[in-house]
Amino acid sequence: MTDKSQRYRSWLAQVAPLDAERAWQRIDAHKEPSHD
Amino acid sequence: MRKRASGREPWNRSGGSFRHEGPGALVTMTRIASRFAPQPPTSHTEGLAAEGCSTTPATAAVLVARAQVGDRAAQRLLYLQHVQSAHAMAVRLLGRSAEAEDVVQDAFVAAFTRIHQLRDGALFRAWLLRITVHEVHRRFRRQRLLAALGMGRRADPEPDASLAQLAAPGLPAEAHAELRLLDRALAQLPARERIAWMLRHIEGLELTEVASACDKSLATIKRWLAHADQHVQRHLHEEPSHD
Repeated sequence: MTDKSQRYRSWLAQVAPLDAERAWQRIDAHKEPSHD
Repeated sequence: MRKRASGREPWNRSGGSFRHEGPGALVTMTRIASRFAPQPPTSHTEGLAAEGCSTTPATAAVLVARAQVGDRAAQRLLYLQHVQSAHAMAVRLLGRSAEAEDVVQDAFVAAFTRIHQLRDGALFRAWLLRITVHEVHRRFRRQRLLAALGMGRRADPEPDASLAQLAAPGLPAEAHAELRLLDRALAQLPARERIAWMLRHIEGLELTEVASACDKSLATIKRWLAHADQHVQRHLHEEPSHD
């Protein structure tokens, strides 16, 4: 499967990036108390 | 953490060491992490390699130690360093960008909620990968449950992952045809085997990394992959050629 795997990987390599700052705001809304 | 990463992970390829020895260290880490601000589209392998070179296990360990005592800035840096590669993997595993974003959010929330359980901060990436894969698996289970209850997306001809939809623009028709065949073959597999197969063959993980990500023994992963490989190859060969 090696050759096929490499082919699949090259075909599927490009993924539109996440808007990380916007996504972080969503995560930041889930603030948990610290565990110290 | 029953299983440990092999130490050969792409993200552990150390391109140098980072030593945390003073109050300026977080500033230095901030500069390092600034390179992980939202990037233009990149391959997952490039992303992994980039992280492996720029984020050493020592850096991750320092950030995790700070995150464990509630340092939100450290959590944010960990997030920025890992979110794009986690998101790209989730997109490929799920075949849907919108769901992938939710999965990645759930994975990071779970990771930061339980980060005090991570004893070796250098293994943050492997740990996050396992949590993300677990979240993907939960999505598949929920989709199947909804479908069984007649509440799935009826209009969606491919309720699970759809690699053909993710293919790079400009690929020849033969490539799309082969990915559609692969989609159909993978859709017939149990979700756990499909995820393991994709981690191995699409994400390019080592066997030990797949075992760690799936939280299963190496023997179990080898068995799943052997069955999945056999099924995929048989399916691809049975279908009429599009060449």
